[in-house]
Amino acid sequence: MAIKIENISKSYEGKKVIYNLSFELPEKGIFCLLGESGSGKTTLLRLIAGLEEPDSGKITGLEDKKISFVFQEDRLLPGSTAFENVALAGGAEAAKLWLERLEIDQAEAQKPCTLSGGMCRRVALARALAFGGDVLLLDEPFKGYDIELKKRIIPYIVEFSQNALVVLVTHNESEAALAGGSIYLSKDR
Amino acid sequence: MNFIMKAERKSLTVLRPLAVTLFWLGVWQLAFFLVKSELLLPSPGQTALRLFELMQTGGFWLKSLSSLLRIVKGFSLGVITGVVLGVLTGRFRLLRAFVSPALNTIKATPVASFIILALIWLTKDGVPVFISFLMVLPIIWSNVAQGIEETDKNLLEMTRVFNFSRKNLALKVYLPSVRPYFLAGCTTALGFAWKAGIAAEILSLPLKSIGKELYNSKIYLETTDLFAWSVAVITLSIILEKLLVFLLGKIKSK
Repeated sequence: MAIKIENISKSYEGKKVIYNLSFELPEKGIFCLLGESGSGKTTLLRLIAGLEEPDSGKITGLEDKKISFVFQEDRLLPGSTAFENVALAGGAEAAKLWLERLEIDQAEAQKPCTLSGGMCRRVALARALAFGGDVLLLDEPFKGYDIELKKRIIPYIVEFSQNALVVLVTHNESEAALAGGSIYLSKDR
Repeated sequence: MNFIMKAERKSLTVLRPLAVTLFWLGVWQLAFFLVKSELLLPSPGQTALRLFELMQTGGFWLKSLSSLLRIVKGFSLGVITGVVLGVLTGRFRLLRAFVSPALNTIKATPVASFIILALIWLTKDGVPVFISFLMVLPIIWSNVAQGIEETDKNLLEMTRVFNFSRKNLALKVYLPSVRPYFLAGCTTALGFAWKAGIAAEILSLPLKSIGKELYNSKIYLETTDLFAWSVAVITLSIILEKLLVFLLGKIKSK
């Protein structure tokens, strides 16, 4: 069942962030959310994840769907190792697999404070992929990656999207080109 | 060069506290010379000698141990209850609204009021335990509740998305957040428990207690005894605090 976003609006302290937005998301594939900063991309991901309720309108088709998320911030447990951070979400086996695929397995015993920004980002992505699910929400997941690394990792996202919906927030045109569909969120309301 | 600097630093860490101690002992001795009355102010030497004499007797150790056990009992009960209440009120705001006034009242009430009340309610031995407990409870409670409230909201949201079990949520998110608040609370509370516990002993006079000895030294105008027992109290307090810091350090590193 497709995910329908119907006339949703969301404001924070009287400031409209999303206004009367409607569109449909496919069941599988990569869908891109584009738009300048402050246009409501992150808010929309949070609404899809069910972390917030819209002020009006509704989102349907998410019932019984398992949702995974790479937040805009890494949100890693500071006292746990990279491996533990991933394993706590997706189990030891999946953690091992995804840390290896995302080329971060050599740092699996390290705590986040000893990792670079890009490495933390990969641990966060590994956690989301290890958790799996029907919908994967990615909020600028490739921040801090070098071009070659990104080239090696993107195929895994594409592979994942064959059985799930990947909603990708990005400012990068080459990343947006991966998407089967996209929507541009404007700041003008 | 590096070796010399290290050796210098090491000798400084040993010499500095020694110099500070000698300075204050000197001030004490000088005050003794000025006062010229053992009844009002015994000298450090007289105090040390009396303490040494007391330490030769079995009663000294028995009384010190009895006081220590009472205070540790009150402290432990306060820590356990404070943690349970802190967790509950940190998680449930409504409960906090009910519990806060009671615990804040305990915090603000003079300890003497509670001691007098406890003298009516409890046995001689129970009073210091209860008073130590009352001193510790609000400190541990407020620190634990604060640690829970200040847990990173972003991490809590993350655990919701990734379906963390209650056990992992407690161990991996709440515990690291609460730990520094709890450890700081424990060190502060121990000092309060010790001082208030001895004060409670002075008023409740349990048979074997430091408090009773302090009271007797007042009655019989044995100022040297008062100083000797006070030195014993301070020493025990320092040992207990060091032991606690050591134990908490073990928890911290885990």
